[in-house]
Amino acid sequence: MTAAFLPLDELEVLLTDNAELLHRQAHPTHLEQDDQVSIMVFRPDQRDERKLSVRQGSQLTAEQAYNAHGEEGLESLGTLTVTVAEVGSLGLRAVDDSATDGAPEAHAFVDFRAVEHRDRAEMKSIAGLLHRHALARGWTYRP
Amino acid sequence: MTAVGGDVRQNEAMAMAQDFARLRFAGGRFDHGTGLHADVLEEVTTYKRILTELAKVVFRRENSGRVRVPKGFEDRLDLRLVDVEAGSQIPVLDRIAASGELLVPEDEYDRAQDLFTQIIDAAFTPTDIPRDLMAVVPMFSKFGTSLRAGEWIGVPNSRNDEVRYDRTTRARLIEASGEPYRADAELLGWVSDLNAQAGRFELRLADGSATPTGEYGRHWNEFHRAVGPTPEEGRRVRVAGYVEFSARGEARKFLTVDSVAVLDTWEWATERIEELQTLPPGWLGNDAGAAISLEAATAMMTLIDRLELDAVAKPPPIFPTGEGGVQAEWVFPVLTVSVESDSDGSFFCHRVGRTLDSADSLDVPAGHAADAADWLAKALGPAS
Repeated sequence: MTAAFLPLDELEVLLTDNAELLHRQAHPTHLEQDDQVSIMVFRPDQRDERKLSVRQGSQLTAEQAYNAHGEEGLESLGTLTVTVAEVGSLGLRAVDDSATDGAPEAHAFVDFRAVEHRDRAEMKSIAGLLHRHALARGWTYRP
Repeated sequence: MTAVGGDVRQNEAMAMAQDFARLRFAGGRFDHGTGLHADVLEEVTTYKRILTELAKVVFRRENSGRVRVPKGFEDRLDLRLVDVEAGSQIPVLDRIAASGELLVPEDEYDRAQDLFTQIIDAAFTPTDIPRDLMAVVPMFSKFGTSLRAGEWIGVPNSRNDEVRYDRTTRARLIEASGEPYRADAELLGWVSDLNAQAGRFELRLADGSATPTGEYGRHWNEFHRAVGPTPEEGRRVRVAGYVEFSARGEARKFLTVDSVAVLDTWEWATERIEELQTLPPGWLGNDAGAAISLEAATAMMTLIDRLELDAVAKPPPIFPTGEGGVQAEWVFPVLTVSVESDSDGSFFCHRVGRTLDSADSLDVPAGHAADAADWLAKALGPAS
């Protein structure tokens, strides 16, 4: 079950424009074919500390987000995109943390910290529904 | 070359363990102070990884070009750091036999040590490196990354003669691997194009890394059998042949096609899981992404074997999880079903429909694949 949101840090800003796009990169191992992308693309892994990394569509296009990811030495097969509204519909929020120390350009995160850590089922449900929203939109960038 | 010592232990008790290798870290920091420098551990890990790939080359050479190694092949190289000898820094690696087995006096891994030193010896004359070793040469970019000027690693061959590997050697091997290369390979994927007029096929690789092309020659029937209305509706194939790779290791084209196997679901799942087991630790980047555990792989194969997939749903794509497990997924327009085998072999089954409220899940302990299969059959039933 979701718990209360944690307070934001000083330099973090809640994203409130429901139409804002949030670009997420798909790791090569999370794709078997063009239309079989793993739902794990939208599940935070141990790097994320339950903060799913995305780039803000108001600042970068899907292609620019892909390129920025690569410039950090990270692999991606392309960009999948959800919106702030879709994140909000699942009881989560999107946070702009691009002003914090060491944050990549135009970075933001989908805040899974409101999901109880033990509630694996809910993490997977949210990831599955974000994945469905993204697939309905299709790849927003494939090199 | 310099002998660095080390004998195979002879008595029966010692046949469970073998004095396998001494890597000498010398020069610079390694000639001063006590204790093992932490950087050495990473180099030892990479040494083992390269040696494993070279042992596969030995196996292929000695088994008429068979591309796939036997199940459990990689597990046969169980190295333990048992000592650090004085005089520079020399981690002593013993090889341990698998449970219930004894080590044979010499096998592919011992002979792989000779290929390791052969590659190093040929760093300045890369044309001397046999073509089946070129696929392994790019891995040397990860070996010796911690070496500073004046430092070197003495790498032993199977006779414990040592060759010197330093920053210059590494740079030359990286340079040598910067060219496209050709190698025997077996690639897994879907037939994304089959052109009878041109006599050519295109293979979309299962890992999404490339779409090599080639002439189908006498294999028209097999390719044609694998083609579906769309690539994703076709059947997976395993194509073995002589392949040209880019410098980055991407398959470009088949120069020859030796065999084409159209795979059923079980074969596919097995091959996919075995492929995922080759992912090195840190595969997600930034040191994240644990290697797939044997328990997780075995559990998923057991589960897939129990599922009557053709009866309940389409075969699932299988993905690695960042925590050392694997996950099979079925995604439909308003239903997403997944089963994850965790690194300890337990399962987590999950489904979600239109909304969060529609979700359902089940924890299944290790060794109870039948329970996970039953749950999945019910979860997938309405979708099939």
